[in-house]
Amino acid sequence: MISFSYGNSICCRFWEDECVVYNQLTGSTHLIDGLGVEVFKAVSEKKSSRSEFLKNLQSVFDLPVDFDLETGLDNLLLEYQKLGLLQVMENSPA
Amino acid sequence: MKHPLLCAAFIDPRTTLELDLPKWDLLIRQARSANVLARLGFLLDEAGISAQTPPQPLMHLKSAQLFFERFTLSLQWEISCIQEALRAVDVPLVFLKGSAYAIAGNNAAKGRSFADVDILVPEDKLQEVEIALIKAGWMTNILDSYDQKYYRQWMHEIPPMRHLKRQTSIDVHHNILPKTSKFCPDAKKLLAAIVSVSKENIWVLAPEDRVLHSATHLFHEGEWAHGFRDLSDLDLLLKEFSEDDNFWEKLLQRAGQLNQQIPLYYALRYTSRIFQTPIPQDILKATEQQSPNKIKQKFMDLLFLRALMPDHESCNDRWTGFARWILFVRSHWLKMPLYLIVPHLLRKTFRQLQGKDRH
Amino acid sequence: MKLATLSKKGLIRSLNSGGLRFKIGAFTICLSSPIAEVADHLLALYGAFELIDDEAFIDFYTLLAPPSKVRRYFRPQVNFSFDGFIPFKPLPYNQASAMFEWGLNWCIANHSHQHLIIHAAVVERNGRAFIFPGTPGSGKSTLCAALVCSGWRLLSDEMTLLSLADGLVYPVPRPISLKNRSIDVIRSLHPDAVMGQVVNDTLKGTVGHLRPPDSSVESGAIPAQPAKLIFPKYQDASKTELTPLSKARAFLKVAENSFNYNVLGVVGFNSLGALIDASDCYEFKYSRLDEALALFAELAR
Repeated sequence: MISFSYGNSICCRFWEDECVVYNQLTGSTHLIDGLGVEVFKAVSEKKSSRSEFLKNLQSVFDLPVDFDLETGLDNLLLEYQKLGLLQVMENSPA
Repeated sequence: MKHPLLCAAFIDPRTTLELDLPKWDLLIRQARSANVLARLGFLLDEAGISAQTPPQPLMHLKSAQLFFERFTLSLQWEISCIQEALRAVDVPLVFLKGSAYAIAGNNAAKGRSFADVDILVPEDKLQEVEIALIKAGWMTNILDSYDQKYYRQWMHEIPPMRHLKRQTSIDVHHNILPKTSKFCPDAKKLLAAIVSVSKENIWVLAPEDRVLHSATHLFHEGEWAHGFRDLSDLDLLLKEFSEDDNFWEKLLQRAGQLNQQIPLYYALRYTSRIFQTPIPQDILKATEQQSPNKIKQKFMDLLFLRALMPDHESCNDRWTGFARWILFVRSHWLKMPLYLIVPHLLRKTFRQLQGKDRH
Repeated sequence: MKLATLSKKGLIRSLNSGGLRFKIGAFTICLSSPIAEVADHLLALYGAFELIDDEAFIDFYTLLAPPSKVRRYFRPQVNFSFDGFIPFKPLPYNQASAMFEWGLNWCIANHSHQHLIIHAAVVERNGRAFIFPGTPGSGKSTLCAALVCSGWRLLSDEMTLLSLADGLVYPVPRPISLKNRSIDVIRSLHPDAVMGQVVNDTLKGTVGHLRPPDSSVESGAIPAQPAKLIFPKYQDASKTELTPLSKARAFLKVAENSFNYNVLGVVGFNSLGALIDASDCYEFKYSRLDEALALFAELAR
């Protein structure tokens, strides 16, 4: 399961292919573009299992066949976790 | 002496219903000077009368309350950062003063913003805690070797530390008064009575000890700009805790155990005088054993009743400046023996002349 | 009653006893000062401002006075204080009037969290507010002065007050602070524009203040609907270029240029979001004021 950190302390606003994300606890604001926007959209809409994520991203972006989407997603999630924006729960359904 | 509008509003917020605009004007000025604008806003909210506050003063109250709400969130974050930094150190994480009121959800937390988070750790764990904080990004900001030595040798805390990224401050205490003070309690007794506020390793002092710490801090204080706010803390703590049976007896007993009878005497004397805090007569009588002789008591009243007023020109009389100055000198007197004070104050004055120190 | 109805003597009397009480937009100010130049500054630039009576509520009590008696003779200085609190170091005596303007900015920026306060000039035409955020050197004040001199309504040259309650921009029309070269630029464009005392060697260089149009001062209670958010950049000899800016990037730039975005938390985040939704966002590069004015007149139609 992927969700916002610290319950509902994260706010997002989307414009076209970018979004801004605000962390109420730290008071920091982040500009997100590219793949990341789809990640935050999905979390906002509570479509938050990893498999749904992958399916979603595949359909939104016309990715080259050899693109390693899983690794890309994992790196992104790791970065957002470090920023305290998202949390990824253990034993997430595949 | 004048009786400020602010005192009346704190005793009974409904008195504000009678105010005309010029009086509201003065009330807001007094509240701002005493750093209690947000608290006044909460008191009116609680009394259910903020809707009847005229729009202009209301704007200043709401503005301060909004600032305070953001402060509360930042404090929560700061506390979780401190918790994270000290996770590996085997100590109970005990928060003091403002951060303790916030964590425990005390009424005294309402509208109270402050710059430093204070924690209490056992003296033998100081070094370990300091190293863990440094590893997590805090730095000691006083580098002057005199100050370093002064803190480490005589004080009840290590020099304040500042987080490099967030620019927040933490004061790490091992006691609530300097070792040199004759009122210095046994810190082990404080630590033995701490209460847990969450499943995580977060603690605060026992309710009685929270009151006593607040009292001793206020009446050993050298800076009186927050006198009114700090006395209001005591008023709110006492009102909240006295809903428990036996609180007053426990408080008296605890003051004896911790050598804090005199601060408690002053705390109860002046909260009851300035805020009309409902304190049982027999308790007031019992603490009066600590009262100095009549002449000295008159003198102390002259000092405290002025220094505890909002720091605003409308609350001053010709004795106010004198009172604050005498109490400043007294605070050093109480913290250390004479042979230490004189060189310390001289040095402080010298630094002030050089413009290095703003205390 | 307007400030201009006071004689210089009467004005000095007010400033010395109890303070001069007047209105700026939605704010009420009380100013005390024993300094004669402050009275000149007010007479030159604040004539259209409405005085208020002793029964009114005052938002900001301000005082401009020398720090000590000794310093009055030896390199005299002036302090700004907000009801007894002194937020800045003193400045040389001849900068008292500029210090009043800066001090009042500080009062508003730190005590008006009912607004999201953006470091930006804001002007209005046809009911639509144009907001020009700007770091120093962006030329926002020059642009603002030029627009105002050609008939736009001045809401503020320095701080845009976006109400958290209704999303509208509330005016604080005050003298426009011009620095260095822009003083001469505006003087040559509008020879009849009224400028207060010009002071050299301030922290910000040479500073002069331009009198706000009386009509802007008189409509100081009327808010405006935000329409355009334009990030100006003055660049020598550059062409006039208006480039759309993505909304998310505009959001971040405004947040960085705000005095109290950090204080307002999620309320500020939402208000700024609504402002961005309501505004077209651009970056604007220019060197010729006439072309800039023509372009904005077109945009405001």
